[in-house]
Amino acid sequence: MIIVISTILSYLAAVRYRFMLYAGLTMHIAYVMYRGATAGRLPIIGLFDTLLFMSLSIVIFALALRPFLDNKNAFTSSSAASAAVFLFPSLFLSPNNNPLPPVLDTYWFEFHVVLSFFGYALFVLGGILGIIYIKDKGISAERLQYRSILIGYTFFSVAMIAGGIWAFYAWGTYWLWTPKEFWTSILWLYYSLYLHARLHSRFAGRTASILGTAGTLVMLFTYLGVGIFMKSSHSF
Amino acid sequence: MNVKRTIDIASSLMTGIAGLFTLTLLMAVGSIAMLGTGAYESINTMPLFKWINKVSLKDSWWLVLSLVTLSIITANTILCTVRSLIAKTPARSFLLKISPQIMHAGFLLILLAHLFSSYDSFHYVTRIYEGQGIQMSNSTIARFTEIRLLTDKTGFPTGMTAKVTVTEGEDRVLVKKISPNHPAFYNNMGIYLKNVLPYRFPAAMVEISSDSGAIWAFAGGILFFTGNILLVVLKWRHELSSSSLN
Repeated sequence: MIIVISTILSYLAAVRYRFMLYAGLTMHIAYVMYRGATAGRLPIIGLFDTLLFMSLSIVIFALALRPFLDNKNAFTSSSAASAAVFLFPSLFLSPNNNPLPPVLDTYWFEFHVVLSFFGYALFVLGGILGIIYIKDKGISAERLQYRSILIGYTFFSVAMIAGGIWAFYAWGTYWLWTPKEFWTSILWLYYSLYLHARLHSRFAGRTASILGTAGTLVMLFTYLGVGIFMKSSHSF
Repeated sequence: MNVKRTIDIASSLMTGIAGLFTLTLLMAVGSIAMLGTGAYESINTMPLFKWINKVSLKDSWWLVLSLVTLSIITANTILCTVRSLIAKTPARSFLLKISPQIMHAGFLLILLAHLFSSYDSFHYVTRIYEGQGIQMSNSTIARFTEIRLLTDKTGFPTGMTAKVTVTEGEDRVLVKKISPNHPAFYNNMGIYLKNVLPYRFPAAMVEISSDSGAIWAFAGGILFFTGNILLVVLKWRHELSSSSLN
């Protein structure tokens, strides 16, 4: 608990003092590794661990994308703040320390979850970059938003393929009609829409950027909303 | 309207964008519509087309509209891909031009997979006791023995296994230990261990299924992945070189 609070505070401090991002990141990585060692598996099951993983992915990808941007400070501050926002709810949740249930005990499941969260994190960063572009009109932010979303889309697509393979071995079909799978497809279609709209002269620039930013809300609903509002076999 | 104009519209990026927008919206509405009715309880137990025929249009309207929209997107994707491939491009941009088309081809294969699965997939889930068998076809029987539930010190289930023996008439054609994520396959049919039941006598939930779309979906996934990776790498290099020129 103390380490999570310290990490959140470090990320919040990083909004002003960038070096605190590295302090937060160090604690964050150490804690995720500790969680993995305690559970004896990748810590990616349950809302507590996925929030931790999501937040960590945001920070790591933000640091990787940062050099390609003109307005670095706004991006670093916003990314650190969003990492803190995703970590905050974990303070009210208990970690799942159970061993892997047999149906989840496969590399395909781990690939599926890890790559999904890489995708989610890059979609969040795409949203942040979209807001920076809409506010400042910096062309580098729009370009980086596109790259962030395209890479996120790649991770997410591979996650869907891995999920399909896992589902085939676990349940005998690569597709089930459940709200989670439905919203996963909706999210994928939505970002396909963004990637195509950006190619069209009528939507390129501001409209596409707004679409890319609004995608964060679709992603949030897919990640959290479905579990809260809809009954699904993919429960967190 | 002449043929050329029709093809122009059908293959245009705008049609693709409108199709994706409509499909996204329909599926979002559908995900909410699914919650309000019990008609969807059977959707995972039979092929989709059979299910659509079974339920009333009041329950499946959005799915029917989604399929119509998907048909438009499919036609748009095929036409757009063909147009792009026949258009002249400098040799050095060839890979950049071809990579989205590889993704499109992967997407189309995945749609084809869903078409096959929606037409003739088969899932049969049942409870069996140790030693019992399931008739897979006229002369093929899968018999289940050695049903075991593995637990840790606290009693949490950590694994489950069963031995399946498939016989074809008098011949034993397959013997395999199955567990979750490790099914056995015989004659395009999967034999799955879904759960081991805590009864007095060893019992399990097992599934016999066949999904003719799966292999196409896998091939589509590989194709899509290849095109996507190619596109990311080439776009990144292209944008880096254009920003260095600026």
